[in-house]
Amino acid sequence: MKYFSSDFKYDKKLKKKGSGVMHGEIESKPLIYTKYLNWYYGNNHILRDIHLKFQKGEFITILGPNGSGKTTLLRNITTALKPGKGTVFLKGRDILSYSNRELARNMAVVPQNTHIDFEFSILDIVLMGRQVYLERFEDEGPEDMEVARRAMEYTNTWDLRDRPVTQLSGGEMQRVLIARALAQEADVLIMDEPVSHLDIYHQIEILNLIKMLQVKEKLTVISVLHDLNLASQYSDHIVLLKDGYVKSKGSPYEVITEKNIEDVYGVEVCMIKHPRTGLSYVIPVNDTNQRLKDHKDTKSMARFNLIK
Amino acid sequence: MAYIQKKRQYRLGLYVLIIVLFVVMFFSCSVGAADIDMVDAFKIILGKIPLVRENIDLGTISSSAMTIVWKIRLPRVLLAMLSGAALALAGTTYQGLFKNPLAEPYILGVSAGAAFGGTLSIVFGLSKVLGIGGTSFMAFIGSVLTTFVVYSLGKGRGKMSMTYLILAGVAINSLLSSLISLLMILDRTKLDRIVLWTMGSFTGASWEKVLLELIALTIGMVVIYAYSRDLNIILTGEENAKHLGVDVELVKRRLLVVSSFISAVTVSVSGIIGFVGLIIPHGVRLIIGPDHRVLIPYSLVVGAIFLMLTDTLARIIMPPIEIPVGVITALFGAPFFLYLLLKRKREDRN
Repeated sequence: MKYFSSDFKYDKKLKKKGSGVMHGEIESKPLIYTKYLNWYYGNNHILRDIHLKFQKGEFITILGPNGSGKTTLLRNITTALKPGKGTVFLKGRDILSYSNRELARNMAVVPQNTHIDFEFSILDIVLMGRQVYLERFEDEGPEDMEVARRAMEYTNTWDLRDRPVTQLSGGEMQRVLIARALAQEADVLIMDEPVSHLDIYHQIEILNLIKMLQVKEKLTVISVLHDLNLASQYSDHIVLLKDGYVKSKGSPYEVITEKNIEDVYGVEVCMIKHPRTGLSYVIPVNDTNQRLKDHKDTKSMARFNLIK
Repeated sequence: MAYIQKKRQYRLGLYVLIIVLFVVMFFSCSVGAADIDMVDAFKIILGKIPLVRENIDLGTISSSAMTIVWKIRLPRVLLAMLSGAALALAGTTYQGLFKNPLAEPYILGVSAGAAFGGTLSIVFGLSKVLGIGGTSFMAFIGSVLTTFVVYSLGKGRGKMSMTYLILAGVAINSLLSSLISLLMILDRTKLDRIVLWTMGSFTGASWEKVLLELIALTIGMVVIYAYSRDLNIILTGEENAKHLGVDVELVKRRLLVVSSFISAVTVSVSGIIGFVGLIIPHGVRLIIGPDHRVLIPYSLVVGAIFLMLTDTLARIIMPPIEIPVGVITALFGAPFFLYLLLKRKREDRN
């Protein structure tokens, strides 16, 4: 909360002053810091002055509707994309000054929709996380094997170790990729929609795992999620994007409000308390029956659309 | 099981294959129009090796046999062996880089360029350049130039797009093929020679060519094997590879250059021998899996054995006519590959 203290408007004020420092705050150095990050796709301004600080050991979720720039922001942080303007800092250093190898020791990434066609064993896939510690012509040694085994036991994939990676289900694949990320022994874990294509059981399984890693292993987790309720349940901080700028940021309690959601997603919602856990939940106000009734009145129009 | 757990077995298997390689080599030296005992062939070859030769008794072997083995058969057998290894190596690398099972050494225009260069030299009657035949020389120049053009066309904004590369390769390939056809029609007297050359053959083998091929293969082997772990990781996706610390663009650039170079050298010394570079890596991958630390050495040796055997068949199957080795490779290789594929499919179903 304290590192996401002010609302997004201070960015503009600061820019006029030409200062990159927040209101003279005294705080520990952020682990990752995006300084007035802008990104363009052709003439489209995709990210606008993203000014964020990510502190060590936190679970940060980036939220926003499709096309709001979530993945673009994430990919700027992982250097898959280069900032159009502005800079991303990792541990105080421009992230583009890291070599791929150096970066991979500090930051592990689980990309969206990884699909592997070649029949590597699961253990081989996880051992690929050790690449950054190996010299040319060097094979993985007992120490690498030990790290891989621990990572796999953590993610409950050790029993799968001899299976070919081509035969995994979505949830298993996600756990294997997390194990591989752990084998990198990096302190930042970046995930792009890690649970989007999973059923509710596996969603919770994966997020519980990530939460446990964050708390017990002091990992910093930056993740894109789609589900507002899962995001508010697991995150320490949420960054809410709209049209490429930061609409709101702070604790889930501060960010996930009826007003913010309506502003950003254009959907009327109401917040309710979970009867058992007491956590807040977002429920869309969407009367299907009323919609159908409205639709009957425009029957001929619907027909026309079908023919077209 | 993971690679490191099976390293011992892999190494053992490789030793066995290398022994087979040598047996096939001696066998190939001994069969042909003049029948020479395999033991004699073995002795003749060992008799040329310093330190060993003192202990070899060549007394019972005729001098004509010695000439045949040393001057004619051995260079040819060795050239087939090295070319097979080189094509399989280049094929393995291309398939890894492109993550595409249809990739092969000739995909980026190496063969079309070589064929065009070779055709030019045959049509205009170029003789020896730098100690190697004019045709080989022109073929090498042609393939290097073509690959260079394809790379330049395929290179997008700083990043190398594999799709663009393949498309550029296909376009250049067909452009050059039609130019070759045009040249052949304009000078029909040389049609035979051109067609035979493009089919590939080791008839013109010499120790110079063996040396050339050996140098190219050694460079290729060392560089490509050095990147075998990176190739594994690239197979899991380029973005994944980047996040695992692999400098993907650098690896792609270096490996494409090296494997094009060995393909170009091979094509210029032996003509266009198809199939080996496409099927051997596949067959080997079907049997031992996708890890390049195993795949590269195994493909190399299997490619070498395969091409030595097929070239020997090409020589002896219906003497005195020699069948172009490219014909034999596909004739015998394709059914075996189909067998592997079917077997695999059946296993998958169970």
